[in-house]
Amino acid sequence: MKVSFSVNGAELSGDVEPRTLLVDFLRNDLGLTGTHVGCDTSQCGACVVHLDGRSIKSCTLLAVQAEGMQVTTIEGLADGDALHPMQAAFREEHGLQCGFCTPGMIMSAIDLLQNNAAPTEKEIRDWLEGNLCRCTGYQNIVKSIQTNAKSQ
Amino acid sequence: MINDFEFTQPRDVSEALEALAEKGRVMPVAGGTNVLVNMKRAPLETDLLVDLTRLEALEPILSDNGRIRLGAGVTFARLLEWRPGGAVEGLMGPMCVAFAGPLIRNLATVGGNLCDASAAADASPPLLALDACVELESATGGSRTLPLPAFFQGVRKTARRATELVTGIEFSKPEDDERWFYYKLGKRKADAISIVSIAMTVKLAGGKVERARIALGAVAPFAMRVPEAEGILQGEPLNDSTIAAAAATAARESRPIDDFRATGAYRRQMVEALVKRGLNEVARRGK
Ligand SMILES: Cc1cc2nc3c(=O)[nH]c(=O)nc-3n(C[C@H](O)[C@H](O)[C@H](O)COP(=O)(O)OP(=O)(O)OC[C@H]3O[C@@H](n4cnc5c(N)ncnc54)[C@H](O)[C@@H]3O)c2cc1C
Ligand code: FES
Ligand code: FES
Repeated sequence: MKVSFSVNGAELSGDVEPRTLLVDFLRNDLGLTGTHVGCDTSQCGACVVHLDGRSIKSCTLLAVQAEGMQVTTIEGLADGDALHPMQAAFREEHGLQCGFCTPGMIMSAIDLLQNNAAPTEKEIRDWLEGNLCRCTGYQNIVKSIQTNAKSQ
Repeated sequence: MINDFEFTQPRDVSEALEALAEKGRVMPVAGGTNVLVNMKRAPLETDLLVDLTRLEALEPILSDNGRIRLGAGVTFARLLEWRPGGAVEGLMGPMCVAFAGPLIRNLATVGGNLCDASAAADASPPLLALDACVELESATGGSRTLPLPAFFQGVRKTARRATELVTGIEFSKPEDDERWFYYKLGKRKADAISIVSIAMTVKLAGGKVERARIALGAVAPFAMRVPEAEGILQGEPLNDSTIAAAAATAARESRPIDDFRATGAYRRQMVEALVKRGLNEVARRGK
């Protein structure tokens, strides 16, 4: 069936089967492979994108459900070569090791700061409940978000 | 591989009701946080998926004449931001904080939580303690309202007919002096299904219990009130002996099972401990 929505500011329409997950549409049809699939069961947060500005797990939504909405993925954050401040903070503070969880972490973290510009460490950790990282132990992820929050 | 089905995204309630009345197997989807997870485990038992997320009539939270109405499509993220004050906020606030994480709360709806009717559905105990009713509508049958205890009928079974849409949940706004207690016992937050959850509202008058509503989650096939325990408290002061009697009775009334999260025996002990804790807290508050 036909869908049209905007992805990273570009209006697009396509033909998808209703059963297509948003994450599969982004990765397979649009080639936006920055959004990862970890668990595929709504647990890990590797697939987080913004839907009308709010962070959601894109393995938990059908592409057709996004009809008419605005989707932002990790690819939509940088302004040309200039990283989004949250991306820059993750680089600065070594907020990643293998990088698998990183796109989801960054998308979640941006939504956190939209809701709460100066979160405490506990608020950051609570917010990231649905984002799992198997490498970093979270310490530097939290630090990255704090660094970005302070610089705002 | 996910099985194939048709999809429709109605723009208003009457369009949605027409879709639900269509022949064949039809299933609503709201936030999809149950439906999408389920469809990856087993073929979805539906030919047509009806997306409810564009139904504006399911969105509002209304407060009018002492009645509160939550649209079925209200997400847990919105509930968490809501500031009704008093017992409603006292129960709903901590329930929402303990509900999944922000990513799931942004999608998951109250209506979906009740319709999925898991024994551990977290919206159920607070809404039972607030004596809430579920509004249902269908294309041919008009609308009806069911008290929550009559809505739940078994393990993941509700009184909703396949052609019916849950449009909202309503309850009376408690008096300002209503007391409350909420607690969710789980293992880890983001994916912690409740082991036991408890919500209560208690109205005291002249040092005695005028009315107590105690609701438990995850200790029976569906969330339940404990009428015998509530009855023990009726007309009595809250003291060590009435509290102990009510707590023991509530534990007896619960029907917990053993599963990989906890044993039934542990759950039953926790019911007793948490009812005790809740009533003690209720008794202390306001002193
Ligand atoms: C990672 C994760 C964590 C979770 N944590 C919790 C938790 O802490 N506590 C908890 O209680 N649950 C939890 N859940 C389960 C789930 O998120 C909730 O049950 C949620 O409220 C379901 O709402 P939904 O809008 O996503 O429902 P959907 O998945 O869209 O629908 C659920 C069911 O209800 C039906 N339905 C939905 N809306 C209506 C309506 N208006 N009228 C008629 N039928 C309707 C659908 O057909 C379906 O059968 C979790 C799920 C995940 C994936
Ligand atoms: S891939 Fe979506 S939450 Fe893990
Ligand atoms: S950096 Fe490897 S999973 Fe987080």
